[in-house]
Amino acid sequence: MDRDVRTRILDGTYACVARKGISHTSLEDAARQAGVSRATLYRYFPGGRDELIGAVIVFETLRFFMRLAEAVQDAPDLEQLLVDGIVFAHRAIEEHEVLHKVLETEPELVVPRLTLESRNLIELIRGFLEPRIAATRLPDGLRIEEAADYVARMVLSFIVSPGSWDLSDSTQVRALVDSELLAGLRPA
Amino acid sequence: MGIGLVERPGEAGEASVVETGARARAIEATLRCVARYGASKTTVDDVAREAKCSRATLYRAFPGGKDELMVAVVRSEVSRFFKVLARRMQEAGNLEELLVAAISTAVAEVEGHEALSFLMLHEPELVWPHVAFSELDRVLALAAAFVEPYLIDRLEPEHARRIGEWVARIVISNVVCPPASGSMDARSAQRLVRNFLLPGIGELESRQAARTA
Repeated sequence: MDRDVRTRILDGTYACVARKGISHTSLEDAARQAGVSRATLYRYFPGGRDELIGAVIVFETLRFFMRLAEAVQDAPDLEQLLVDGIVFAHRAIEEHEVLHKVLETEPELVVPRLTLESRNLIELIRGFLEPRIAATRLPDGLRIEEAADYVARMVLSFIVSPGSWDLSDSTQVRALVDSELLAGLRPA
Repeated sequence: MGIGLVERPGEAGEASVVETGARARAIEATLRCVARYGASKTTVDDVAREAKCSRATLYRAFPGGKDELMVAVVRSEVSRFFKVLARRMQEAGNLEELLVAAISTAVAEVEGHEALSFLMLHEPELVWPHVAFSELDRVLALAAAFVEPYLIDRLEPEHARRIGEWVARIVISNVVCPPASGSMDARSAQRLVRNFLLPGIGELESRQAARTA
């Protein structure tokens, strides 16, 4: 299997979903957009349309988190990284037109798949944070993995939903990071 | 068919719903049917049979049929959930116990709910859209309004409300994605509260004190 072909199919499918939504994207549309035959598409996604749609949701989600990781990789410390990351992710979600369109018209086709993905996303964020948390001094008895798991869950929760916080305001986000995310990670 | 988990922030938390008589029996019967066949496949006939009443009786209690019945089931279960939570939280002797009770009870109620468990497993499209993105904001607002009165004597209303949101985020995260230890039981919840919530609340309180000083 050729990764480039797989990526081309997913890019093509994503373009179709962006244009006409999930339920109106057929295998033929996706194949045409990607410039591959139906047979090729089936070779890469033997489960057909369901597998393809699931894969494109995961693909776009990972792309989102790659952009996020890139945006914060040069942050000087953990606090700044979390502030920048939450502000960036919030804006990216707000401006994600395709996401809003599918959430508006066919949430039942996208949210369950994203929910299924949440364990992997927590692991992904956790893996990204662990070395940075390991570089700080934690309170006695608090394990690095435990701290990273907690912060990763909270970060994902805030990306999905800001609640009453204004996540476009970095002063508020700093207050949030200092209390809900990092207060427990600072030695007394 | 959609199942609205909450009507409007504040509503389910404050006004408790008490169904009686034929309506209460039909709601209980519906829960048993959903736990067995799921929400989409449960019919009015199934519910009537399970409740040992006639179709006509069921329609007198719920003239809107299955849709109205399902709305009543959700409303009554949300109300019951908050009542259990309130009872456990009232038993708590201090802030730590209160937060541990809130988290572990909420997770246990969701995980032990047979009808909801069936839906999470087999009809996830009826559940998860209600706890993500803007719908999650509504759930968080409900949790905030529910928790606020318990914390109002130590924190400003804004902060007290945020603790409610915070607890709800932890509960939802651990229901969607159970912790490595298996489940968010009282012991895991206590560790989480001691490690992260109490220090965070301390931080909020010292900010509050610095502002008012």
